[in-house]
Amino acid sequence: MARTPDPTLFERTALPHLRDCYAFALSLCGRVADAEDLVQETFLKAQKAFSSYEQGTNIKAWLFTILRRLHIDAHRRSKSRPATQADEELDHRGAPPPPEASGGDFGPQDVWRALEQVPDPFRMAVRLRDVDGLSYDEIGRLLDIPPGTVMSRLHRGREWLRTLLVASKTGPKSLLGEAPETPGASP
Amino acid sequence: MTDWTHDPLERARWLDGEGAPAERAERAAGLARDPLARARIDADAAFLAAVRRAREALPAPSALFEARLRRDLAIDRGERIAGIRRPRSLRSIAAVAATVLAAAGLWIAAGGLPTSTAGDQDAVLAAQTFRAAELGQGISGIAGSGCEEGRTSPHRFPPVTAGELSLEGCSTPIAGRSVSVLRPTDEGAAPRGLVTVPWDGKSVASDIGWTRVGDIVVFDVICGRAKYYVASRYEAVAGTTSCAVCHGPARAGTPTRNPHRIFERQPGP
Repeated sequence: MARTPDPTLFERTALPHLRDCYAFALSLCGRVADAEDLVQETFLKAQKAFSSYEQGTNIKAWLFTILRRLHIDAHRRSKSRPATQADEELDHRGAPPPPEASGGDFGPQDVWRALEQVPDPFRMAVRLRDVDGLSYDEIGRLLDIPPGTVMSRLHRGREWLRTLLVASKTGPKSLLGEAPETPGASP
Repeated sequence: MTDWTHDPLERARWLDGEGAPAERAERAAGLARDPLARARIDADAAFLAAVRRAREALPAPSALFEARLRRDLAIDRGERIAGIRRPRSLRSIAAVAATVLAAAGLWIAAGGLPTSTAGDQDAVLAAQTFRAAELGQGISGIAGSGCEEGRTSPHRFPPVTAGELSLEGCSTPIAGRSVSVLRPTDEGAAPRGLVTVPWDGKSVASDIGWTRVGDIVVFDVICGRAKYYVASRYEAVAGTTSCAVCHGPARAGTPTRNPHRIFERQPGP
């Protein structure tokens, strides 16, 4: 006898990742209202497509993929694409100097402030790995880049981050200008 | 062998838990025999541990948003939620839309809208809502289901969110389009009519357009993924700072803090 599918399975599986999805959306949109709209659209779409989710795989990575695609689609509709720069182009801005110390004495807010100043593709790789805990493979699929590029972006991003954090403790307040608002702050 | 610990990308791979089990076992054995290599790994590990503590300050959505999302998911599954009506069928939406348009037509024909320069039917609907609220009819004169809870929810209108205007009633005469009556929080203040429609373009909250609909003025603004039309009596606004229409009296005395660019919409055909 066939079992009736549990109608609340999606909610029980996906909603524990609401905070991660919201934070990810906020990092893409920059505004609370836009992030909420994007997350709502993501969850409604994910609920409809839940049968295509492969049980046992990382549901957070699956939700992030839907969320990012919706974000890109929204930009296409408004005829302005999210700003992207080639890794090489960003490297020409000047690689950060080697850090004077590895450092480990930083609070979460210090890290967020510094992370906001890391150039976009590198920041995204660090964020997805170190904050969201995605694997190299999952990051690669999410961002449509090969694993080698994930590794290199992650490395470059962490270099930027380490330099900015060390500089914030020992030298100038910022290497790249004023630190923006901490993520999560209302616009 | 621990030569790989001289390569920062390989150290990162190790610390990120990447690599096949056999490779990791071999590397773990090498590290156990080489304290210098272990020290290189530990230095990176201390930094990564600090970075990963950023998760403790991950921004969280509001409880209100989470509740709204849960409810929307339930509605999407077709569940009946107390106090919330299920989305209407296309036939009933069409019937409601026809009722609203017919009522607006009758009202205009009866002289309710003496002169209109509005080129935007949503501005006219906002004016109609304001007029009904001013006559004490509230939202009862507008057909439709309950409050829209999606992106055109009146609860998302920034002055409502900020508590500068309170929501007296709302209706959804056409799916996704919400009609509401708002009132400034100061005692005895006149109501406002609000129409909210979905918007897929760019948010330009700095620009506010206004349209005359007879003796009513309707301001419109695009904020987030919705466009808002706020209607008030023209004479209440003319010659004064118009901030008070949306923001209540608190802003009326500080026109220099007005961050908006206000301009008149071109009349429609």
